[in-house]
Amino acid sequence: MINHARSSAFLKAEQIHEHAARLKLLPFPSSNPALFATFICNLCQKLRDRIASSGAGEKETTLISLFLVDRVAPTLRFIEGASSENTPASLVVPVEKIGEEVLRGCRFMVRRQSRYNYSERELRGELQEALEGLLPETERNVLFKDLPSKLFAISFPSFERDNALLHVNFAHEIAHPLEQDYLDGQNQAAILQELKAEIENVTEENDPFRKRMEVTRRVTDAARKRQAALMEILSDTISAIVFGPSALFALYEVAILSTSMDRISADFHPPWRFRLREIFRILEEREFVDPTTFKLRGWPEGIPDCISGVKTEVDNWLVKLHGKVEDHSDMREIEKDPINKVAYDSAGRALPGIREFAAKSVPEHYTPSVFSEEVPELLKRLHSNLPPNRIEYSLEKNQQVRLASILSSGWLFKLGELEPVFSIDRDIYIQQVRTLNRLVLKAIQLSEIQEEYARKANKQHDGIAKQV
Amino acid sequence: MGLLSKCEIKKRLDDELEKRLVITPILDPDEQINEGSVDLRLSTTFILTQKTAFPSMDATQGEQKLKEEIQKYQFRVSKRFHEPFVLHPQQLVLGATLEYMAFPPDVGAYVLSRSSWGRLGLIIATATFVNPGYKGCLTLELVNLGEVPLVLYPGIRVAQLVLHSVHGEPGLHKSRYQFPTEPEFSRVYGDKELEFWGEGRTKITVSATFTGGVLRPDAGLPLSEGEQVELDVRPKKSPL
Repeated sequence: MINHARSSAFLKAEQIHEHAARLKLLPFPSSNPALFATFICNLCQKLRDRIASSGAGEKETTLISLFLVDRVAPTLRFIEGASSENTPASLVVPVEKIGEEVLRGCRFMVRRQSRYNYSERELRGELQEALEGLLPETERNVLFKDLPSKLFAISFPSFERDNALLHVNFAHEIAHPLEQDYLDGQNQAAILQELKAEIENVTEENDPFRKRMEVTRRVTDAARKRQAALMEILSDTISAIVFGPSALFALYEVAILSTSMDRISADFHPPWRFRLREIFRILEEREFVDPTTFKLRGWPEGIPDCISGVKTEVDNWLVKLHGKVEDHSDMREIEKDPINKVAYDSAGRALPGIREFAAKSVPEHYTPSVFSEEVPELLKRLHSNLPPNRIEYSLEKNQQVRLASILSSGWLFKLGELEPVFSIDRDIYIQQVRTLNRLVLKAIQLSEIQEEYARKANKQHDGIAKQV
Repeated sequence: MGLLSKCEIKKRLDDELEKRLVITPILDPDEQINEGSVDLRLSTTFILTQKTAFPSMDATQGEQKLKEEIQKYQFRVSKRFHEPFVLHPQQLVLGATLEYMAFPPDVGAYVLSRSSWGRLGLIIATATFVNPGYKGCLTLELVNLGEVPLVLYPGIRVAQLVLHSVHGEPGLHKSRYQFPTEPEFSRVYGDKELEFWGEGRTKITVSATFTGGVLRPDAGLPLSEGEQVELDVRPKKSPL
């Protein structure tokens, strides 16, 4: 029996190793998936050796088998989903760069998933924790030394691969791991005390024991909802700091899939209306949106006709959306439940702190002045069916643009120029949206290589100058 | 119609956006813009042929079927910059230019191999003419006619665009390839007349009685002995 358990575990390690070794050869847009595949190969090899050695007993062999089946094998789908074929390849490296700037020392892997969702998951920590007790510490240290301190898989809905504009939501996912840093900086005991005091006031129960039980339950519930609300808002805020108005557009695109804009979700995410309203507020604070007209700021004087149409449509769109989110029906829904009200009142008081924390966490902010300088020029290019990769005044005078500007121009073009086409001719609409996605992804690719090439050329130039 | 000189190419590249000859990016203008031509770079996506899937490719078999067969016959591979792509002798691969282009209505172009690569056996672009008004990346048909495998890297300059002016009233450019940014699968099925030319062979069928033994899959299964079947006896054509 023990021999069979051992041979079975050995075989599993071998099969997973083989699979990971095959996946490692896939073309990937960055080096991170292959790095992780190599790690899985090494891990399986170590476990195989451990099983083969006489040291592994019956229980340990079973635990290794379970570890392989439950923890290691499921990670293969992350590698497979991260191949160039399965991802918006040109966007992957820029997204990883943003992640690495926000979370120093961490690495990212963008991959598709079958669920219609954007999500984030840390891979190293999970495996490291589960491996304790299965391999000696020295061997574990050797194994993990080539992996970054944290390796995050950022997932996107599979069939949205080419929908470059929607992938602005990657910034939201990149921001999630910052939650712990934020929470660590908070006085949790004081927050619980504050919630408790408010909940005691709204809990009607005469029996002191029952009241205590009920208050404890309600405080836990309120604290969970408060925290979940703040964490989502933190990520939304970071997304808005990185990408500006596109964060609002991309979030709304996901929000419209919900049957209710006003309810707290089953996993305690705040109502969509609440989140969109908060992003609006951030955009107003950061001076992207005018707080009185709710229109975009930053259009230069005398914009050409081809862009003024886009501006009008986008402004109308924003005014309509602002009307929707300022309806506050979500708050009326929240206030129906005293626990939710306590949780959201407390969350509301914490929002300025969240905004401050978010602003400090992002090294490079997307500003209205950059938006104003770059986006109108890129819109002109999109209008001429050119990729919005660069501002090219002339052959000699041209200018690198931010990823956020490329995506912003794409969003404004879609909302302002393509959305009105839908009601006129759906075939043309589909064709034009496809073209837009292609041009935006191409622009990202070109922008990246232009920057890299220019850096290299400058280095060479500096080198030659030094020699002279 | 005359070739555009280096000076004229630069002038066209600096025109106002609506009238401009766009070639973006030109990473190194000094190196890439020559007397009468602009060097073009290789992009990151390739379309390869899956030879084992098909005995031949018959372009006259109807749009839908041909569309499916072309997709099965070819597959995409993406490479990163700085990552090699090996082109073996006699292999045909579709690549694309890194540069996205927009031609004004009075400028056309020919895409040619760069002679330094041609001498190593690399031939590109059998479809060499680019219409005035065209917008997009250009698909390059890469063939290695040499004796040894060639290692290519996305970003290297493999082709040259010879530009010329077009005289007369400019027409509206129509293409079956809309603003491509990657190599495109063949859309030969867009030739409406193809079925006409292939008509003779698509109609030939004969009736036969099944007497057991090996059945061709396209005769329809399952069959019992004595059952009447229609067999397609179309002669095989050579690949396009």
